Amino acid sequence: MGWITRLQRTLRSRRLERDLDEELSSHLEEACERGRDPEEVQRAFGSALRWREEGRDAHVLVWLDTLLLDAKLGLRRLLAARGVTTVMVVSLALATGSCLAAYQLADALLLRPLPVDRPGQLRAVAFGASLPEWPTRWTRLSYPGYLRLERLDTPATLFATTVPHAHPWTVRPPGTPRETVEIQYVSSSFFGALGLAPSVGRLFAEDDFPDAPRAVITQALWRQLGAPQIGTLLHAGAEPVELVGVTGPAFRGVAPGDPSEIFLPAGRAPGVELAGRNSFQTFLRLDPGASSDVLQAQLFDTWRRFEAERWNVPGIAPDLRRAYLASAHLRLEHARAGASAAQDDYGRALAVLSGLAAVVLLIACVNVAHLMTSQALTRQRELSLRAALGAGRLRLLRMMLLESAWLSLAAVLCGSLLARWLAPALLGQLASSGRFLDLDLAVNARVLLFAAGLAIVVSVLCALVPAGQVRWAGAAAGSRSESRTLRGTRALDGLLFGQVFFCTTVLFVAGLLITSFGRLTATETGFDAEGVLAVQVRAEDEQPPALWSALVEHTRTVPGVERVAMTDWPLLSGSGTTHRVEAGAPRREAMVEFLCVSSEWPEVLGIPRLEGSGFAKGIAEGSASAVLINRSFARHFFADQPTLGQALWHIDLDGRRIEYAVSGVVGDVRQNDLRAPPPLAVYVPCAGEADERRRHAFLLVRGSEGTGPWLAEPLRSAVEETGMFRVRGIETQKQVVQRQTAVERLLALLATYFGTASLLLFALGLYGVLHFLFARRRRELSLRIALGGRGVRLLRDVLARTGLAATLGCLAGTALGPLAGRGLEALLFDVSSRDPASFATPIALVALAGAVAAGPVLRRALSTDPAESLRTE
Amino acid sequence: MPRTDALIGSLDLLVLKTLASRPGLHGYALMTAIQVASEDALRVEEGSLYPALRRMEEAGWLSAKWVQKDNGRRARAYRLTRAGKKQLAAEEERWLSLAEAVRQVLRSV
Repeated sequence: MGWITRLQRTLRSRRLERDLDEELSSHLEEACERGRDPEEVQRAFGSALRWREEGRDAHVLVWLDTLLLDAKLGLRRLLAARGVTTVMVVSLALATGSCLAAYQLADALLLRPLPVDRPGQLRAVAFGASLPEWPTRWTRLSYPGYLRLERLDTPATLFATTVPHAHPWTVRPPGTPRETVEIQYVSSSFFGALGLAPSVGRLFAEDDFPDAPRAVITQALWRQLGAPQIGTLLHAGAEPVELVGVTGPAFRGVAPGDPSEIFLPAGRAPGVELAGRNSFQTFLRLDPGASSDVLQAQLFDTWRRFEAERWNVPGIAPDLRRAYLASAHLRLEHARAGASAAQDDYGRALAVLSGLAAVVLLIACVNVAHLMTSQALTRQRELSLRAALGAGRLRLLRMMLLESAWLSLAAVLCGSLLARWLAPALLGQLASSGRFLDLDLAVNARVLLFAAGLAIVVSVLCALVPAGQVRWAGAAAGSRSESRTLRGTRALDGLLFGQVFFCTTVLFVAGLLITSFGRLTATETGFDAEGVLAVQVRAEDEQPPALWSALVEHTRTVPGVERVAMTDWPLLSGSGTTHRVEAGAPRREAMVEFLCVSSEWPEVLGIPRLEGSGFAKGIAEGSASAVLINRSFARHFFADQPTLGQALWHIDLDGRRIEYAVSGVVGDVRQNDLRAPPPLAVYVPCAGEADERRRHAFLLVRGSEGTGPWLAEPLRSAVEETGMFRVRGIETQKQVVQRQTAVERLLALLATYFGTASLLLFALGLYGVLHFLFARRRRELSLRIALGGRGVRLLRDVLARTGLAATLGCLAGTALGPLAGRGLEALLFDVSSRDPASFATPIALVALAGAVAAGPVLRRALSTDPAESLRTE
Repeated sequence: MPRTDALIGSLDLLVLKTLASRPGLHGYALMTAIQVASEDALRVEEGSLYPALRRMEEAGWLSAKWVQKDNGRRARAYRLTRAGKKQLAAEEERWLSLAEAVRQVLRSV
């Protein structure tokens, strides 16, 4: 009999049993018809049960048959104890759902290989230097710098792209829902090195470079545009470009979280010729067998020489140049899953999320193991009986594993539903903080595999300790020794220790993250972001200061607008310009932040004027030599000297000295980074020599009656009715500031979620174990109470070891906390893992949750009527 | 009086041989066929026949399928598989050589 037939019969066991019964009765009937005595025939057959069992064994896969029977039994047992089962499934579902959501996000952002040829061969080039107040790692290079690397004879194919950037459609294609489209400028080797083939038309060829007006678009955009013909003109970017081809279906660029839609030749990128504009990320594909280390050294050598030339200008202090070149380094990083700013920004946060989710999963598993162990101890009689009837140790272990497999299956299914909601909700939370991540969260084979792996791990973790009890029950079949109870409750104490340990660790880490977020949001920025709108304006062509000034005046006439100022970019938007400045007596030098602002800028943002009255006459008549400085600048350069009228010199990259006179001092503000102290800053007027014609600016608008979204549309109309300016985006200054805390906000939210979940799970687990302990010793306690024993002493006896386990767990958790906190330091702001408050809060919360969970059980134990209890026994 | 203990070691052979000449017999008919062919000398008990049938089906010597009997009831009809035919040949050879050996012992003693 083939195994397939046996498998079919195993899966259709009822039908098999019916057939066996029918064969038996058919035989009996025929024998009786032929005159045989029914009883004699029955005797000849033997036991009907044995007949059925033997027949079954001959027709089925016995191991699978018993497995299915045990699985059915396990399911029945779980359904019989519906309350406990629900608690176990909900605990596990919360944790597995969080793990799945974390994995889905990590998969989409960090793990999923790019849909290109042999993605494992791709590397991204990262740069770094160790200078104070300088990024330790960056990934972009100017196009001239890239070309220098590309021209090297290396065992690799280099390619470069800009970061995808949202550009408005100059002429929006009919039916397109969005006003903007993501454009990415790519080098000539981009598509070739990735090994991509077009789905329609062609990809770029050599003659498209450096700057032919041609475009390749993604298939998703091509479909959205209604599948336009090759040769169609697309009005995106500065000039119309001709569509030459469409990429394959899955390709969305090489920056996960920041997908592209239109690819243009690198030569069309704004400022592509500038050696100082680091806007291209360099990638490479290693030739087979090439050494990554040798290539890295080769690239570093060339890049360092390029940087040495670029920094060899009078505008950069020689000391700074030397320090920069001495500490500069270049590294090749694996780019199997692409490389993007989103990965850099959120990789660590995702690691924290995954870590927290994993610990909460451990807590949930310990919780379930706890409940299952309690159940196993109350099932001693049943398990011993099974062992006595010949069920082997392995069979009993398997039964326990199957029960936990049912639980984990249910939990993973419920968890998947939770993850389907949770992962997009986390992205939504990020989007509401102003950082939109476009991730494809579709379930794929890797996610399914992870879910399956998770189910197996959960099954084993949950069954580990209870299975130990079963094994030992089997060995001690039939015995009633006291040591059995002792060993069983020891396992429970061990589990309680684990639960408190994990819970305290999660609470410690959560406390650090929440405090960090709280301190960051409470940071004094030095300006009032409330009620200010930031309107990003773009002119069709570069416009002179007078026209921009007229635009400011025009927007001031919009009803509801109180004040309007113009600036390069809003404070804390992350943008900044640093220049070398000389000032003071004796003459000193420093790198100083420069920002172009109009005269009303301090008033719009509520920045106090400490001295002088600013540019005095507004931006149209403003003097190029009059600047505002901030308090830090004044203190740094002029100390106790009078400030107004003092001279300062901006030394540009060519070594020219541009003189300014201080006409006012304003308060310090956090300028580029909320975490960094206010820099030394100079505010130059948006007019005169310092700022001639410009194409982009931000209008900062303060409304007279509390600016709200309602003001956005009138402002947009007012700007666009001029016919020369377009609004690219409007957001509140508060949103701009909030974007600075997007990661911290997300982490604080996750910390709150996981902290609450772990406390809840701990409380449930403790309640379960105490309930079990008192239920087991009910008779003994009743007797002792009846004999005059004092309640408090009895409680002490019962709880001594449990309390010790919990205390040790709490201590171990607080000991591990600082170690975990050390790994998080890069994500923390103004919080130390050695701060006493960081220790006190988790201990207090665990104690509180413990008291809440233990209270009802202890109250019930103390109020037990001994007579009633003994009668029930 | 038919003897049931005479079947020790030869039940498989008897079942295989009977099914080789009369394929498609069900359990009761098979039992009767052996009894008739042996002129009532051998009788197979139900308690031995069905375990043997199952064992041989498990070994792949027999195949079985449900058939409708004259009285309308269903019964499992057995027939030899290719492996069963080979097994029958082997069993026959084994039995004949055993019988020959026994006969020689009887003659010489």
